[in-house]
Amino acid sequence: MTGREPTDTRTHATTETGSPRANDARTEAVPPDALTDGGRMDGAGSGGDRADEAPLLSVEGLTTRFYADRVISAVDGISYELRAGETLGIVGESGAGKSVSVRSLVGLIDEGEVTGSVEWRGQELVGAPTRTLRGIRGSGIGMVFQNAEAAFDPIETVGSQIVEAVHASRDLSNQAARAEAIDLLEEVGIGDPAGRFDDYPHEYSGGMAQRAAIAMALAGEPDLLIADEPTTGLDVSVQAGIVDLFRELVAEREMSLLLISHDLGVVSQLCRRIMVMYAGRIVERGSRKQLLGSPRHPYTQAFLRSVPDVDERRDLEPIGGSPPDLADPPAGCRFHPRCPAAEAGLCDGAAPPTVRFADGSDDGAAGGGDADRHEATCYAYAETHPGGDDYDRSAVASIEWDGAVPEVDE
Amino acid sequence: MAGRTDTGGESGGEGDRETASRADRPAVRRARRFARRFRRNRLATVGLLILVVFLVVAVFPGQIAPQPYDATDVPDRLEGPSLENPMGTDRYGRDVFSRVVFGARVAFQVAVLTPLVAMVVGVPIGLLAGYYGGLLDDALMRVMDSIFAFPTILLGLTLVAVFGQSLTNIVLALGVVFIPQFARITRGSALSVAEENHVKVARSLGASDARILALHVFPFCLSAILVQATITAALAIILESSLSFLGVGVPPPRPSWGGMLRVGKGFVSSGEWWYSVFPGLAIVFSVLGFNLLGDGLRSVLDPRTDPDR
Repeated sequence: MTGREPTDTRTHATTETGSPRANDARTEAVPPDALTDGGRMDGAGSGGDRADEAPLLSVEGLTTRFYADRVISAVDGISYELRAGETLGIVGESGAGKSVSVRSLVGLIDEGEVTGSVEWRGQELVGAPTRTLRGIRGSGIGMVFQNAEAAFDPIETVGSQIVEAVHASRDLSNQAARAEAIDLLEEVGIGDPAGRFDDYPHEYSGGMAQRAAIAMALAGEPDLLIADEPTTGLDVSVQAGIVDLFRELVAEREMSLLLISHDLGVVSQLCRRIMVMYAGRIVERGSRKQLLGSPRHPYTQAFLRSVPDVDERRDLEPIGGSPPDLADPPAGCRFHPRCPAAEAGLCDGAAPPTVRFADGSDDGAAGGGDADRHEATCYAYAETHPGGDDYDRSAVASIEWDGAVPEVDE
Repeated sequence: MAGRTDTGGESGGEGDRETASRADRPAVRRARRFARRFRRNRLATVGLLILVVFLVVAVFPGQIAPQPYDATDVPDRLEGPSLENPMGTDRYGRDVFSRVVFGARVAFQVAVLTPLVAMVVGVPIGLLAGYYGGLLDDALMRVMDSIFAFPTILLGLTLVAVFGQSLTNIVLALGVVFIPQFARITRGSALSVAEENHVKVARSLGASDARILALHVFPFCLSAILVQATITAALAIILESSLSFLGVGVPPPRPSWGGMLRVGKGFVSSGEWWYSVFPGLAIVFSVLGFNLLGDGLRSVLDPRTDPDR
């Protein structure tokens, strides 16, 4: 079942970005005439402009399954591209498959099966030998995880572990590695880096530990930093510091950032592009302005309504129900059992189409491309559908967003 | 600072201690912390003292024993303890005290070398099995289980019988007997640390398996291995004594406590108790020393029993 459904999402990701693979014959997955209201445009409109610039990371139909007593598809055919210097956020509830999807990129999934394609600078990583992956881990793709204190071996000093990370990907003398580690600690904003070098992880506060973990991830001078819930569990003032740090690092190191969080605030502050993940699939993607200003997918809208807003007093609306069982996901749109606008006989049938909107290039997109693309995978915006033309679209068509547009400082 | 730690202040001193020791190298701080905690553990200290005495005796038997272990004095045979022969004499008139002293050397060699042999083989097996898991784990651990399935004495006895009766063979045989225990205990620790976040992080940053095993997994297992080594040392002494008692131990005339016990037991009913009691006590105390040390290390090295926190 999983082999069939993700086709829609996937084909569009590729056709629009001009990827050399599979860009013919599948364009029809989104009906070209699927535009009625002003917000939509033809899928073939733009996107051919960046074909010359090869993406840093190109993910294509990435699927991760775990074989326990049942087969669990934690990630189900997601596709995206990331270019040098880009910042991309993945948001979604716990269990949406965000973490698994990034761990799958560099072969960090132990007991699961990863299929699809992950290309790093044109090199295929799915099924690549450990040796290849190890060369990319750290020096190509650095990772920062939640709960930074646990990122360190409790019986070794923080400094020695950063030195170790330097050694893992760069050929430096012990002394040079030590100097580099101290520089890194300084770069991430740890006061008295030489003095804190010999401290043990438990002597660091939570915020400092996260900074040190970031330093460790930077030790290999990665081109892409993947941060998996880097601010979760830190108190708010510390969070703000970490967010600032990421922003500085991305600017100064000209690094790409792939940020995973359930915290839309953090993601919107750091990422120019955002993808919303639900039950292993990407349901909506777009620039932060598009997503926060005019969210299209009912799940995105529900997600935004459930986030507290400091400026505006409004009732929070929790999303009813709970995320689906990934061993037995609902047919059709995986959100339909919880969706306020779901149509029986439609949303629970075939997988919904991915529809593209034209509220693009409004976010100062450098180089255009993916950043302009605002897509949602939902029947609400489809003109034609497998169920024929006579279905009642009143409920799904009534979806509209009345939420506030969060302020985003550049 | 020294004064504070010596008084063992349970509360309050934490902050001062941290700042005061900040300038020290991490290894020095760790050693100091270990020493502090060790001193506070009375039983471990007692165990260590016993072992220090044991070690001195084992290293310098010639200086301590009043007579050579094989000096016979037939007219004075089977004499009870006296000023001249504090532990009496045996059936050839040899000084039991001197023989117990020289027996310490054999016992100590067995106690130190046996765990070493077992460790050299068992620890790598445990590391690989625990870290990689899966089929390798199953295969290695089934082999270990099959060794484990033999009664230790029987296995030791068989190996010595096959390879011949010498100190080297006894150490090797006992080493083999204890391999599964080291493999198992190392595997357990490796298994748990392999699931730790910091291992995953190290892997995510490009560290090789060899590097992770050497820098994260092995150090984590070390305390459990150390504790196991002391307990194995005690068991090795008992096993060597048992083998000697059964007549397949260190060949005479080198004195072994188990061998002395074997001969001495025949004289207990006729009243010559010292012949067997003193070697027996030597076994008891040396084993006790290792066990106390092992227990002490277990609690000192286990962060969950940290009295400082």
